[in-house]
Amino acid sequence: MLKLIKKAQKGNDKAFLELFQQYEQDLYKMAFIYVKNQNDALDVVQETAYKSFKSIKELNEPKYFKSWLIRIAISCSLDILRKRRKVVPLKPDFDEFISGAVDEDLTSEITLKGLIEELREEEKSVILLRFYQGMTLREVSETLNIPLGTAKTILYRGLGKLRKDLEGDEANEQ
Amino acid sequence: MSNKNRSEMNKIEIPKELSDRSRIGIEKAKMEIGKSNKKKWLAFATPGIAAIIALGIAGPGLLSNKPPENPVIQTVKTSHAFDVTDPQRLVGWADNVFVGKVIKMSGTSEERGMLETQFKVEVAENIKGELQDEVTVNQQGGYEGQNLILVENDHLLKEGESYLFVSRKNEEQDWHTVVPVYGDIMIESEAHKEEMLSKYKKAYQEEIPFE
Repeated sequence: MLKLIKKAQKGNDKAFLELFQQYEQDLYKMAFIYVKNQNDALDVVQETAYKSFKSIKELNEPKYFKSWLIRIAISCSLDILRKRRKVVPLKPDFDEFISGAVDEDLTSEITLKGLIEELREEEKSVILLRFYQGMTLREVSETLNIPLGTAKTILYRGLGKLRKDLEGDEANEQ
Repeated sequence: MSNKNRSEMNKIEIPKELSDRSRIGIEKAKMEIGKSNKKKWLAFATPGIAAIIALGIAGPGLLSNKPPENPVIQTVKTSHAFDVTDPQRLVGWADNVFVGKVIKMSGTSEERGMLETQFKVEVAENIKGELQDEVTVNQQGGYEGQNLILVENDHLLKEGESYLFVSRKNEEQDWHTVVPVYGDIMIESEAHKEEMLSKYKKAYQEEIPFE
């Protein structure tokens, strides 16, 4: 992989395509969680391919290639959402949601519907990176360029929402 | 990582065109990288590029072997990163300075944001660099339908004529892009050729490298 990255950094588009295609499905699925439809998710992947190849020379640490791609894909997804809404989402008030009590075991109950419908963008980012990409919270915070404490807060808040959603569903079923 | 989580994500269907879209993104980037590289090495700022694009060059006819008899000439203004009228600086910037005869027009390109025309040129004599036999010379401008796009005061190279070329090599395309006007001087006679050779050999000896 290192060899392919070096080649890509020298402008070899075939090497970059080979690399990129190893991750395109993951990127597409992540994008879909944000933008909620196939067309926009495909746009995100195309834009991610475009932006990443244009700036591959700036990637200093090849081992972070995947995280780097993910960061670009998230940023592209958010761009699409911003354009759609014509409004930039406000930063949440993190303190309001601080709670260390949420059990991460809840993650076994995460549903696709919950991910797509219930979470804010930053919650999707943290939960996807933590549980879908298997990153540690520190890696999540580095990938999203946010403080570790903030990543934790957002994670718990997101999981809390999903639990409420799950409880709601269970109540409806009874 | 939770298996449940992954299987939830796997419910998202992957569209067939996904790989194509990755490829399109990369190709688009490649094209733009090529453009910006060219801009760097050519060291020209060409405000006229925007004008040319505005003129709506896109379309067929660029490769026409039969140029229009009375083309409408449209010129593009340029500004340069150095004084191109100074032979010492011009030669210092160039990879090659040589005399050659234009054999034929061999193609056109718009990939780099501006119409360019390529010519097969037989090398007659090198002043700077060591080109051999036949090379491809790339000139900014060319025919677009009934229009002839030219960089201000430049003339499109003519088949059968000899020129003194001042060029820079484009490794990617393997062609030699000439400086408009000052890098494609038509040789009018044997005496003129000797005069140009003498002038540019001297300039090469006293060249001022481009930084």
